[in-house]
Amino acid sequence: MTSKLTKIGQELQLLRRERLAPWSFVLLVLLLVVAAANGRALLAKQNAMAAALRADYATLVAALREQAGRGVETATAPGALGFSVLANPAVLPPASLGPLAVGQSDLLPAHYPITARGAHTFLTQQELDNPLRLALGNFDVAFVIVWLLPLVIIALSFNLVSGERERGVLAMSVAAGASITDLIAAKFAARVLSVLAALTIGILGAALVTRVPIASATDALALAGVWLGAALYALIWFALALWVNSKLRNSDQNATILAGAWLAFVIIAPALTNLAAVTAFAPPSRVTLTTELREASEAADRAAAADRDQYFFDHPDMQGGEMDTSAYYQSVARSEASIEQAIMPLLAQFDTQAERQQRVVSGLQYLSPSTLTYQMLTALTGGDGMRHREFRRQALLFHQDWRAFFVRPLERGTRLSAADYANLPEFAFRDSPISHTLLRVAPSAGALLLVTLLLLVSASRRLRRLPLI
Amino acid sequence: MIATVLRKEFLAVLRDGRVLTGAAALLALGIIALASGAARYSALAGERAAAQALVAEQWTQQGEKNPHSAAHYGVYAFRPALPLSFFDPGVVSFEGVAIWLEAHKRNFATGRPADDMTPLARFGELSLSFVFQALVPLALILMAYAAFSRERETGTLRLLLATGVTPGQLFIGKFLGIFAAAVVLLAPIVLLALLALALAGGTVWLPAALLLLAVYLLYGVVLMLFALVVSARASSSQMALLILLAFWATTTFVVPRLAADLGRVLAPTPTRAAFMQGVEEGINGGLGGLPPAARIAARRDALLKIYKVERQEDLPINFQGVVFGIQDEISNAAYDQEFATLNAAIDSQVDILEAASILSPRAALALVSQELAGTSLAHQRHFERAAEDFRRELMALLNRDITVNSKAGDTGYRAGADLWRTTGEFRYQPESLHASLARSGAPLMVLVLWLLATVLAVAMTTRRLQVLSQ
Repeated sequence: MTSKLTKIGQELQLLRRERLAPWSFVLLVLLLVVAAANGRALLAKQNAMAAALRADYATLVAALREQAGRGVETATAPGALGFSVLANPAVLPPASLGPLAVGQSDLLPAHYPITARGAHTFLTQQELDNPLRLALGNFDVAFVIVWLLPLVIIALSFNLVSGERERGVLAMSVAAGASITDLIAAKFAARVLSVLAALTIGILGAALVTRVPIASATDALALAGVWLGAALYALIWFALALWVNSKLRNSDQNATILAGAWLAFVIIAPALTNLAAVTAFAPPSRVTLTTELREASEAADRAAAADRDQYFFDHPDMQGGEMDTSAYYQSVARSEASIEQAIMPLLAQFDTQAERQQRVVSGLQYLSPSTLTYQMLTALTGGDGMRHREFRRQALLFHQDWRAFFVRPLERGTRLSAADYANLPEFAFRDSPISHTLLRVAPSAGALLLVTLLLLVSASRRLRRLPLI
Repeated sequence: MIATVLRKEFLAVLRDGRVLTGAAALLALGIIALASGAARYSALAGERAAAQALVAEQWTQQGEKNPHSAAHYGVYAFRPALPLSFFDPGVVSFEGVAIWLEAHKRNFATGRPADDMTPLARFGELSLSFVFQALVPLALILMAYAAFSRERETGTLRLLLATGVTPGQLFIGKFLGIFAAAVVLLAPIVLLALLALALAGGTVWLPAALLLLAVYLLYGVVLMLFALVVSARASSSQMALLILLAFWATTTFVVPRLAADLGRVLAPTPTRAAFMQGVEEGINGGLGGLPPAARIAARRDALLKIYKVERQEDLPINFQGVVFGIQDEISNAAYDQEFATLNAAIDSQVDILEAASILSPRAALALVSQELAGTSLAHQRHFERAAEDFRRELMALLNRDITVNSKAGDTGYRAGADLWRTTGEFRYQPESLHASLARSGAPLMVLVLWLLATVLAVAMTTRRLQVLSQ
């Protein structure tokens, strides 16, 4: 045992003297930290936005409450308040690990302005961003791990065995009475340990830079999950490199094969998986949604016009004037409800298709360790869309409470008082427990581990019968 | 001499099993990308044209209404899908396709296709442009990395030079041979793409397609020269391969992403909430320091003077129409200002990316490619501007009708199909190729600089070609 450890120590020394290796470790750590710093800027922006939205809302409510106390009409009319004046921003607080794997979270809205109007008014809103940046993708920790880490591993180990053979070292070692498998195992272990060390330092550095509150058990667990996912991903690439080496081709061929594997797993498999999912379960047309929304609005407008005619028929004395606001907003409430009723089933179709696509991805992700790892990392950081889906679900429930708060008094014909402002519904997002996420990513981690072990067993079997030159 | 080297390299590449396997894989991917891109294009093109026609029909058949109700009803502008988007989807997946043109508001384009894709779409869509920007260069590298280093390692380089061929001739011969082989291998997919384009859009887009081809060829030449230079200078084939792979990964993926994210940090776009607040403040603040109410009052006084009447009700026109017009002037200016802020931030981000493209010819290539394919940010902006111009004309026309044809306080005034027909339909005319080219100056310059730099490197390398391996 101690002799093996000594060998690994010797190999680590050798690795340190190679030109490439120490730099690639430094580069890896640096890239992870830069990516995290970059994510931190995003997190800061999201936090500032959330705080600004809440502050604006609080100021508006305070002003209205004060007006309501003085009996100002607009501040006590539930219709005007709910449908025209007051929007409560339901905010999805940025996840503390979010910047590590942005995933979909820069694409999906992080807040919904909730009003008494239909849910369709806020569900289709999106945040402003540079589309070119969105198209190019994020430079986050997940990118460094999923895309760049394998390249570092390939560069370190494509000639793990072949290089030694080509230089005749294997034959010499045997002549000197050393065990070849021990020698290769030591070289392999030295590389794995160095990369894992760099990864650990890099991820801890990233966590420090983004100020992940490690004291919270949830975040510490998620961070540990990110580290484990990254480590397993590193191991599977090492195992693959060793396995390719065990086929006894020359170093050039190994490098080409490993580069090809990188291309297949990192670029082609995810793209084809997305294409398969989107082709099998094509999303409904947004254009149709638009034209349907228009039809529904037009129908609601006609109904509202009929309401208006009925109103003036019932109140001939008001003819030529305006409807009283309460009657007007009751009509608006009916319009909004009818548009929402027409549109929500269409919006639900988008969700259904998205869920089906997700199932295809969940199945096909096992074709590529890169897809698996990316999915795992974004799940752990809340960037995979699930957290957002949960946010939307909670926001929709909240929207019902919020609407009822205004529509009930509107229908009863009562007014709001300053005291009622204390009872305005408040939105607070509840994250699902981390255990759910961990359970969700466990099969992916298991699959990575299993394939790694299979590759290692197969490689070591072959390497035992290694020809020396 | 060059011809001999050329023929040898050409045949050697075409006889290499690995190259052929790679080429077959690329061809398959290219066909998948082409087929899915073409299918998506034809579905979207049909759908949007139909939707635009439907909206026009809804508009003319909306029945009798007050023109201001019609203004609130509004119309939609759909961005037509352009044929070359199947080659390079550019940013269109991340841009809305429909804009609601309604009274008082300049809406954002909605319905981003990316919102309906799986999270894996963020790895990059499989499009033909992606194949040619990212995958083909890798294939070129694999074809060329050993061209000199292997000859040196096996000792044949010395023999070759002993036959009297100069290093320069050898370089040119190898370059032409390998490049010709690559062109032959890629020809099927290029021809298929051109055929698909001809079927989709006739010959209108052919000049753009040929220019695209020329720019991609330029990129290919740069990359091949670079790969050969590295092969000639590296200490071993292995080192050449590692250097080239690192170069490829860095320029293709790392630099563009890093530059784009750096742009976000240095020039962040305003949030939607800040944008809307800016618009609201702009509208409340009025134009040129004059609050809206004051502006309306001033216009009323001017009109009373012109028509020589004392009271607003005595005006022969409906002043309400004028008020709508003034409100629109104010809100238009407010929206213009906020959109200018948003676009300025995005422009700064693009500037940073353009600057970074000096380190990444792929970033420069991507920018030119999107421009020529009509799928760039600028093209989307042109569409949005056209839609907004149409909206403003439409609103002005409706306001004028209220002003001229109805009386003050007459809320019962109704216009009909006659008016709706005079407003015309929204028909978007994409920008000319000339405009696309004019915008591509900087990234094209970067590509030319890369070409000059690699040619210089070739000259320096061939002057002192290392013959023996160390």
